[in-house]
Amino acid sequence: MKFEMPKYHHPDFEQEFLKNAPNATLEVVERDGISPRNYHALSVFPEYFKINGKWVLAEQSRMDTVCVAYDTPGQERVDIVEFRNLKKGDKVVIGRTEDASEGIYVWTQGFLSSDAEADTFAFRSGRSRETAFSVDYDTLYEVLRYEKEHKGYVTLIVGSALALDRDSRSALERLIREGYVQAIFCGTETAAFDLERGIFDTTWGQRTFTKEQNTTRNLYATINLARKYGSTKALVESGMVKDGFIKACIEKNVPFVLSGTIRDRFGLPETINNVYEAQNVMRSHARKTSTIIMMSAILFTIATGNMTPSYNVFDGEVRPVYMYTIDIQEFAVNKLSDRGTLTAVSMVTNAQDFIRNVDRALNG
Amino acid sequence: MEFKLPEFIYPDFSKAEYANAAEVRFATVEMDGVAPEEFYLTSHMPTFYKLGGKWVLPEHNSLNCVAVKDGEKIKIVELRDLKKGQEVVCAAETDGSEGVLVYREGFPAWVYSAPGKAVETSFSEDYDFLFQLMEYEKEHNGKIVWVLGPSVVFDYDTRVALNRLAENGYIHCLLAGNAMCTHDLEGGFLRTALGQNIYTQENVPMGHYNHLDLLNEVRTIGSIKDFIASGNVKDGIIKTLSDMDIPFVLSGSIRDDGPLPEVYKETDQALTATKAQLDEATLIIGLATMLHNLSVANMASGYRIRKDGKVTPVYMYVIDVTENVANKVGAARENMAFVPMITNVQDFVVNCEKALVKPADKNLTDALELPEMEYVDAEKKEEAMRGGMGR
Repeated sequence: MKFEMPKYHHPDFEQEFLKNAPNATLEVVERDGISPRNYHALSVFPEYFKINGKWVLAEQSRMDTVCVAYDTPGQERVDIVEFRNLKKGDKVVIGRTEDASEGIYVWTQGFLSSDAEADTFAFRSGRSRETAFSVDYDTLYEVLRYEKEHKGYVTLIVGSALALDRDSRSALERLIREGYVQAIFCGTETAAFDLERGIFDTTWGQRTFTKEQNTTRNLYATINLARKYGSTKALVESGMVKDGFIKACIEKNVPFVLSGTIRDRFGLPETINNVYEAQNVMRSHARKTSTIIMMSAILFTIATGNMTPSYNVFDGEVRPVYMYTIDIQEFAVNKLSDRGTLTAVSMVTNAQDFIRNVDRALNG
Repeated sequence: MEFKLPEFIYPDFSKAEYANAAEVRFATVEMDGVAPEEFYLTSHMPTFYKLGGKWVLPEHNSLNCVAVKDGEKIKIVELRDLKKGQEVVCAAETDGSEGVLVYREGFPAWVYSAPGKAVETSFSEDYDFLFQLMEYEKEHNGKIVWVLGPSVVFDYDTRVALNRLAENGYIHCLLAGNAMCTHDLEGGFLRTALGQNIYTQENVPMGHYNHLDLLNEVRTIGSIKDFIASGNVKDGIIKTLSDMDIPFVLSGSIRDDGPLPEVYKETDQALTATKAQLDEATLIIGLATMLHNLSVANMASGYRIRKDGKVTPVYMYVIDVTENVANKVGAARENMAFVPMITNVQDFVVNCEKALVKPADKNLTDALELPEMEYVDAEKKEEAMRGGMGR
């Protein structure tokens, strides 16, 4: 079966109710970070806003944010902005209807094909460890090959489990070196565990990681070294790190975003301690992302899931953003469906096995 | 039987192995935030350092820190806070031979929890011990620190129980995140949690806007305190703690919307503020949050030196339906004074309240309470009168 990217259909703007709809109401932000009341909050679906009589599609959207409209005639556009990033003078779209009656139109039918294969991209809820995942794997391989060929932007969320295991660590490294990965989000510990293995040949202070215990001396020595060198890049370039996915990222120029959490008391030099600044950096990648794979990192997965749109515009074409969530806990993978995230496939499994499989399928 | 806290028995330092042990060795910090190569990484266990011929026990201990010379004492410092010129303990052994002695044997064996607890484990005795411990801490000026995930504020009974526990002196500090606080205030402001009525479970119209509206309103007013003072919040643990002047520390995360004005944006600052509270903690109760519980489990000292000089363990109870979360905390605490309970935190909180808060204490508040169903009905009537618009 040849993979085909689903086609997006704009609504028919010639319909009377869309033609007759008023322009969206705009209200000016008076203080940075605070929205006028009765703002319109974005969903994960494609949304259009009528500005100067034109319907403008929100690109690079994000749920639970507001729409800032630019209504200079001839240069109509919208930007989807978090509340905290609103600036005085921004014009925010007001109104809580979605049916065009206030100039706001939420369009859920864009990816429905004309034949009966409806709803291909709706979230399949209630996934469990017993779900048959073969078709999802096959689609994923196709998607990843497509992204590589078409210069897509694949972002991986990497939980520490992947750094703790030999095979999954090298699988990840190979995927990066083979050009399947364009950005990585992870926490300080994940990166530090990977570096620890590359420097000390231990993980969590153990030859082969078997269980959590307070044997973190080498982990902290690793972070200490990176701080001494001033950056992880400098540490890698010193030659001390013999392998690993962080090394691969640095050598292949793949950005890795290390977002700080309250579990990180001693960060790598690149760790972003301000969590909202970290969100901003993550979103700068999420805005470009065409496929995202999130593996066994609940906090990062939900944070990223919330900021990644279900669709986006690449080279002028609207297409779905593929989202894969991998976790052994059903609760974790279903958490995103609770949040209304769409176009997502979740798989209940050990993330180490998942990445082994993906690597063997693509690089085997 | 009178409840007694487990007590720490010091090692016999007159023994030859200790008397003849080397003094602790130091190396100097050359760059802020970077430790000398051979630094000793601390745990939260009682640890003695041989300094000037004496074995000294720091005031607190903490996992993954360094031990720094402080005159004739040793203080435990976060690696990131190291300053150039500070003298850091270096050692590879912890048996005393290099002047560092981790002394696990000081507490009786029953203070250590057996690994492998599961949902079927009998927790009755753990509850008994907890209730006695909470009463003890209340009577002896202890500090009970609660670490809360959002699920405790989603449910009506749990909200009521948590408030009563606070009002009756069983909560002395709250550690949480933006979401827990947002949903608690949303409940007090709009009677919903993420748009769902906290009693009837009904999704209210446009309810998905509620938490965003709450955040925007609080941000408009400028602080949680002023938002509460404006009369917008009917109830909730945050209101109760504010009214009672009980501290709460809100740490930011990359998942946050908003955030609320009081939330620490910088993890370093959040950690420092949290640690300041934990350094006074005598009992920690952590409910349904992996992130915050692990952060606390890593930071909190395993013992405290009480005013009378006695060294007692700092118990950490961790309640979660996910065994993995409890196990991770247990690993960090090395099972010392660690009690996991695998259950729904809503049941846990309601049980604590029913066991600890005496009927006499409830009479007063009960008389003032409107049953929640009546409240929901009244709200609906009001809503209908306003034509279902606004609130």
